[in-house]
Formats: sequence, structure tokens, C-alpha cells
Amino acid sequence: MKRVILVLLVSMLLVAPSYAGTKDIIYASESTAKSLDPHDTSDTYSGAIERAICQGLMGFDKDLNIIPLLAESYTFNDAATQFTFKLRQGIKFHDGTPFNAEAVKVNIERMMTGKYKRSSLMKPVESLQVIDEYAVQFNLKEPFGAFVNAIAHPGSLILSPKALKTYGDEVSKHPVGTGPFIFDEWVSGSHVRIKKNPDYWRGEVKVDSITFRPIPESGSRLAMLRAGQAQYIYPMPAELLKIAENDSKIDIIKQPSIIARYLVMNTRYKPFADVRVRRAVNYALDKKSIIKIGWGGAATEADSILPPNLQFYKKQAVWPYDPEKAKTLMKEAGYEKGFEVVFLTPNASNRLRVTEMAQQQLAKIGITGKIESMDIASFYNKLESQKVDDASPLPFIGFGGWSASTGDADWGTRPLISTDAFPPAMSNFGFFADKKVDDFITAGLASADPDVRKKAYADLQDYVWAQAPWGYLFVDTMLAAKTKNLKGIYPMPDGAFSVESAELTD
Amino acid sequence: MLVVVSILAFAFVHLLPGDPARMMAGDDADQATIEMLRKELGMDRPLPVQYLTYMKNLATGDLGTSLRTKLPVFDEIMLRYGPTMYLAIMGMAWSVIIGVLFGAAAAIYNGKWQDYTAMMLSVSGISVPQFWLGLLAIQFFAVYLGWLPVAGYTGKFSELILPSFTLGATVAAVMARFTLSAFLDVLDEEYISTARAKGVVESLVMWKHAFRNALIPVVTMVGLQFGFLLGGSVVVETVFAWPGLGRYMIEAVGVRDYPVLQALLLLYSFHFVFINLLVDMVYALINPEIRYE
Repeated sequence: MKRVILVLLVSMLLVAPSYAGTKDIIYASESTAKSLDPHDTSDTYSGAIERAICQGLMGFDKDLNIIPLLAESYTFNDAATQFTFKLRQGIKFHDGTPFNAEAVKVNIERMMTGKYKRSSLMKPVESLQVIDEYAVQFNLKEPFGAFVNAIAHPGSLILSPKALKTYGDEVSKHPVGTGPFIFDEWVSGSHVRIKKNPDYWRGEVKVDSITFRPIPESGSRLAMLRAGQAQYIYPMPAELLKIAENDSKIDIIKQPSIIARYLVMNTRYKPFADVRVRRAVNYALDKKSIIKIGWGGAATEADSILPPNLQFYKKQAVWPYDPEKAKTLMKEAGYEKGFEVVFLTPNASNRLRVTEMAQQQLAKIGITGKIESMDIASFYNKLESQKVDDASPLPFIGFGGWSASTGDADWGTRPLISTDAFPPAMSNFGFFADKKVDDFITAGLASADPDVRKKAYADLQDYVWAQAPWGYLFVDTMLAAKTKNLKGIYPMPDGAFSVESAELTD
Repeated sequence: MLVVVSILAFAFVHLLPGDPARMMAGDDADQATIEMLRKELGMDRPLPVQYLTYMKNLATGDLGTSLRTKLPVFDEIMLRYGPTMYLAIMGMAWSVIIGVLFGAAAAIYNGKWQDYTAMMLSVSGISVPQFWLGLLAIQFFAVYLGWLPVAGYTGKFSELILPSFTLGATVAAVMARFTLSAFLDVLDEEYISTARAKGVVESLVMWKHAFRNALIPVVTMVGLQFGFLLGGSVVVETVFAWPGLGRYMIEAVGVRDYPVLQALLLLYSFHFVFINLLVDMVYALINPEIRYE
């Protein structure tokens, strides 16, 4: 027994670790990698790691603008049914396979089989035509103006055709791409490691390796950064911001996201069918205090149905906090005495806090009710089990959130407020139905010309802001933290991150 | 026994509200994707059919593949079994060493300052929340002193120290209280008085006559606690980002990963059956009068 204790003590002294000298980065995150097959990935975190290994024809820059990557340029026809991409020459996959039109074809046709989680991105595609070794043409079934966004989406990354042939669907454990980093190791539940691609086509990669480690507890995550055992953490917990700000070795990164938060109401039936009631809800919500207390200050007030970083966003006037006006509207609508609802929310503590605050604020204009909080799977189950023609539904107010992963106005509106998107088809959980909205959304897709689309979405935003299908709340600000000597890693507005230009200075 | 458990496991898991296909498809999935996944995961078939497939596979030792990662559940569990096992063994070692020493000391020096100190520490040990103790230990040993890694496990012994101590501290407290009462009970027995009357040296009375007999209920306790620890401590594994079974369970519940949940429930039941058997065998070792025919 004595020997055991002695061994323990000695080993405690021997292991004082040293972490200096190498260009290895540890990225500590809340999430765990679930797959490394881009076509079969639905979570942002795995998708972001994939983006360090693989690239698409198009991609996003740090502000979510679309930039050409493996494609040099593209053209499209007026009807938005034909998109031709000219490919970059001389690029090789990590396994030496050359990148060309054939590689694109193999990948897109794999997605078009409909077997993968991101197959839906290629749903508009009728056929893919190889024009020559460095040009491909997509023929669409119907006009789809947002198609370039689908091509830039992390779900449309291009894998090495050789790797696809060798591994089949096991490619999820052996991703091979053209990106700045080569896949090295994935130990499920522990870490993913990627290492430098010495022949990267866009220039030298400045770090040797990056290890992605899931650290679910936020206090431990910050401790790793402070102890120098991680160089970058995401998310940086808002409640620990003070501690991090007082640490001279740490930089805080704040980045506006495209994650919209709002309160969904069933607009198909009374009382929320009345736009005056919905406007009353918007006047009754004190967004500023909800952000400050409920969300740790890490958000900005919603000023359109689209978050500012999404394409074709048009700023609107924030709904002012005006409980008196709200009461007047309730009276006009015949609900002077108020009515009862049920509040639905996922049980994450910050969402519950926001819902509690909304509950208190709405109680002041007579909208009262209990909160039902549940884990996220049960929450979806509850919202999606609603029937469109159930005439006596319980009026509810649900805490909603949406991140349009294609970075496009279409995906930020159509799945949420169009008539086609009633659950279970998509996520219009409030059954909001408005002919004008549907028309604007169709017009936005009918052309790939940015000016035409911009006009359609501007009209849509002006109109739907006043219709108030939701209690508009806020747009998340993403918080990350890094050590001072790390440069070039930053969070992207869609909740992913970019590590391509990572660099460690001394 | 395990057949009954397997039926219960299947039933419980499928009774949970929520749809794995929905969770796998992601927040912004459309219905077509969800339907496709439901089919892919075999969940479009009637439940009895799914149950029969599950039992058939189970009979051949196939636990299925994780819905979330598409990796074989057996491999995923084996990957996490080691870390949880090491953590449980080390945690148990801490708790037995500290707990039994404190408990014995409190019994031997009953009513003196040693007794009060040991019991005060053990009451604190029971009352302190594990995540708080863990974070405190991280702040002091990893951030402030910089001696030990904060979190994670990549096979280094140093990574095991803080989490196992945090895990062991709570169990140690229980163990100390248990040893104390067992010890005091034994000291009241007539054979102790007899030994003392015969003139046996006091230290020999304590260690040979009293301690060994006091250990029997303690061993039961160790067995029981170890069964829980082998399931993976959710709190400690979360605070220390430990790649073990406890965290795996939580992740699997979150996305309704049915095959993983079923396999883990089976494994936990197996643990308890196995450990109870082990405990019975240890009784016989400690007290030769206990024999199994």
C-alpha cells in the first residue's frame, strides 16, 4: 500500500507538463465530432472540421460572402436553371489524385443518390454534365436562384474520388480532400487531429497540427485555456467573461452570428391569428433586458426576420418595448382580460431563462401560462406532432432558433414562414400562411441575378416584419477565446470556424 | 435474467419521446431527409419487427451500429470502457485508502479529536458537489500550480489523478462512515472482550480480531459503489472531459441513439450481476466461516 502511495506522489511530481516549442494547436470545444463525411454531416462542428480538410467549388469568407475555391468562376442563365463552373487547374487531393471535372461528378452524383444527410442540397439538380476536364454544368429541375449557396455549403465539399472508391461510406473515418490540413486521427469521444498539408495550393500552412478536443463543461474549457493546455476555446461561456477579460494571456473574440432567436406562436388559430395580438407580443417583450440577463449580453436585438450577416438582409426598425401600446392592441383585439398559453422551451439553462423572462413580460399584458421545458429531442417531437387542421390547439409560445447554414436569404425564410414549410415538411411551427410572403419567396428563387433577388427579399422583409409571425428576439453573438500568441483562427457567422490561416507567434 | 433486461431496455428506450432520425438530420433538415434517415436506420419498420431483429443480432453478439456516428456500438463501448474502468479503479483506490483509514481511526480513537476530524472531513466529502470539487481541484492543481492536465484522457497517468480523486472523495466519505459503524459494532462483540481478557495486545485485537470482521459490510459497500462507478460517473466525466461511458450515455440519450442506449443498459445490468458474485467470493476470503456449498 505504501508503495502505491509513493508511486502516486512521485508521478505527480514527474508529470509537470511542458507545452512549449511545437506548432501544435489544441482547439477545445463544447461539441463532439460525429462524422467526417461532409455529405453525411448535419452538425456545424463536424462540418467545420471537414472544411479544414476538404473544400468545395465555392466557399465562404469570414463574413459569409461567397468566394470561389476549387472553381475559378461560374456563370448562370437568366432562368436560374443552368449553372456552369470553371474549375481551377493543377490541384491535387491529399492522396495525389488530381482534382478535375470527373472528381466533381463522382461527388455530386454520390449526393444525388439521396442517401445522405446533405443530399437535400442537390435536390434541385436534374443532371450534371462534364463539359471538359475543367468545366462542369449543373442542369436544374426548376429555377433555384440560391443554388450557388448550396454549392458553397459545407455539405457540398469535394472528396477524393479514389478515397470514395477505396472506403465507400467508411470515408467518414478517412476523409481525403484538397484543404490546408490532412486528416490524421479520430478517436471517437476523445479527439480529432489534423496535420499540415505541405503542398497546399493556396500557400504555406503555418502550424504543424490542430487537435480538436471536446470539453463539454465550460469551466474546464476556460481552465484549459488559462493553463495553456488549449490555445482556442469555443464557445467562451458568457457567464465567465469577467474572469477571462482579467487574464492578460487571453484574447476574447466576439463575432455576430446568423443564429436568429424568436418566439413562435400558432398563427393559424385564435388568438394569435390576429395580427394585433402578435404585435402586442412584440411590444411587450423587453429585448434589451432579455439579452442582458437571459443571454449573458451575447446577442443583438433582432432588426429583421433575417440576421444581418445573411445575404440580402435589410435592416428594419427594432420593435420598441412599449407595454402600454401592447395593452391597447390587446384591448382592440378583444383580449383585454388576456388569455392563457403554454410556453415551450428546450431545457438548456439560457433558453429556460429567456423563456422565464418572456413569461413575466407577457404576463403584464395578460398573456399568462406555465412553462414546459424538455430536452431538445422531446421539444422537436412536441412541435412536429402538431396537426395543421387541428382546430382546437392549445395556444403556445415556443422558443425557436434558426441558423441558415447556406448563408442565403432563401434558407433563412422559406423553411420557417412559407406555406410549404408546415411541419413535418419543414420548420414553420407556427403555421404562418400568407400569400404575399409565399410570392416574395418564389420571386427570390426565380432568378440568380443578385439585383432581382435583393429586391424580392427586401420587399419580403419589409412586409413580414410588420406581420410579426414571431415574437422577434435577438441574434446571437458568438464568443470565443484564444491565447494571445495564436492568430488566424476565427469563428464564422454560421457557428463554424476557420483554421486555414492559423499561426502561432512566439 | 439478461433476456428480461434486454426486453426492458428495448421497451424503455423506445418509450422515450423524440425521434432519432429528427435528431440525426440536424436542426434545419427537411422532411425528405428525415424520412430517408428513418428508412436508412430501419425505423420505418413496425416495432415488433425491430425488436426481433435486435434480439437476433444480440444472440450473435452484434450490438448494432450507433445511429449518430455509424460506428459499431461494440467498438465505441470498448473504446470508452478502458478509461471508465481506470477511473473507477483509481477512484475506488482513493476512496478505500482514505475512507477505511479515516473510519478505522475514528473507531479506534472513538470520542477523541481524531474521531471528530475524520468525521468532519467525511461529512464535508458527502456534502460537497462533485462538479464543484472537480473545478476547484482543476483551478488549484492545473491552472494555479500548473502541475496536472485540466481535462481529457489520452493515456497518460497524470490525466487520471484529478478526476479519480474527485470521484473517490465522495465515495471515501461514504466509506469512512460505513467503516466507523461496522468497526464500532464489532468492538461491542463478546469475542473482542474475550481477546482482551486473554491478554492479547491491544493493537493485535484491533487489527486481527476487529478489523477483519469489520471489513465484511465494507466490502459489500465497495462492491455496490464499484458497480455504480463502472457505469461511468456523468458529473466527473463531464467536468474532466473524460472519454468514458458516462458521457457516452448522456450524448446518446440526447440524440436518442437507441442501439447505444440498449447496449449500455445491458452492460450496466451485467456489471451488477457480476460484481455481486465477486463480492460473495470476497466474503469467503475474509471470513473462512462463510462457505458456499
